Amino acid sequence: MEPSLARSQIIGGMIWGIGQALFEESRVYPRTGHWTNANLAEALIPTRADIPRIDVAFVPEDDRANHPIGMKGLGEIGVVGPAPAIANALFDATGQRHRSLPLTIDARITAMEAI
Amino acid sequence: MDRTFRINGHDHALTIDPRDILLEILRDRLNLTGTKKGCDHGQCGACTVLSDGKRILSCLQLGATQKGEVNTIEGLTGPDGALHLMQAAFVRHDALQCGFCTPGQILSSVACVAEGHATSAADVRAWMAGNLCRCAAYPNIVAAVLDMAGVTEAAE
Repeated sequence: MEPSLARSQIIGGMIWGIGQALFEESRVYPRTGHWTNANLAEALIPTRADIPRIDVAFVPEDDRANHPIGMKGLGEIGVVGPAPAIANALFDATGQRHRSLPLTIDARITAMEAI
Repeated sequence: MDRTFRINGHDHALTIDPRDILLEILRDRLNLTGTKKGCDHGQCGACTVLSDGKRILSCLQLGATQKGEVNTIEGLTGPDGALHLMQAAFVRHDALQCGFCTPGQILSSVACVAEGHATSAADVRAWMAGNLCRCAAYPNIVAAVLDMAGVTEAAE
């Protein structure tokens, strides 16, 4: 096991999750079925300036039920938590419960108008 | 048209088309394939090279109008193959995953430190925001740059 690589994978996953929650969207023009934002200026992904300090804490576990040598695979699993955490934080702050991502400002305005 | 390019300390006399882009001259004519073509639109930073020490996007630079000496990732390594200190810092901090953006990230980091823009994590994030990393190695890259700049940051 290489702990620094595991940490880097989890950092990467968490930043993907932040992107999923706040920026990332593939838009399709319904008439032609073509992407309307197929470039990095319009299909936003997190840049360095979007990402604050990231902490990673592992809870070590020797899980022989999962695998005879007690290990677990690890990769993009870090992507799971951030979007629900950010959506719940938005709910806590505004009372708006969003059911779709990303949580862009225009999505929030649309949700407010629907109330 | 005939042009002489000074790249990594060597002169290269080439006959180029006026439409040739510096990135393609580096990769296709001089076989310096360390410089990567990402988006080819100036949106991702993968093709970053140094021109007289200033970082430029080689995918947006016409070869015909390139004036300064160009430094690419190949030029950072010492003559004996030793890693540049910034390359070593990237290795130490595991500041890459797939590595495609890394040549651009490293050249941008070298320039960021030289410009005096690596005084804090917030500074590095702002001054290197133009180099995208889809593997999202950003925190480790910031750590490598601050390490090279000799900045020790208390937890924010």
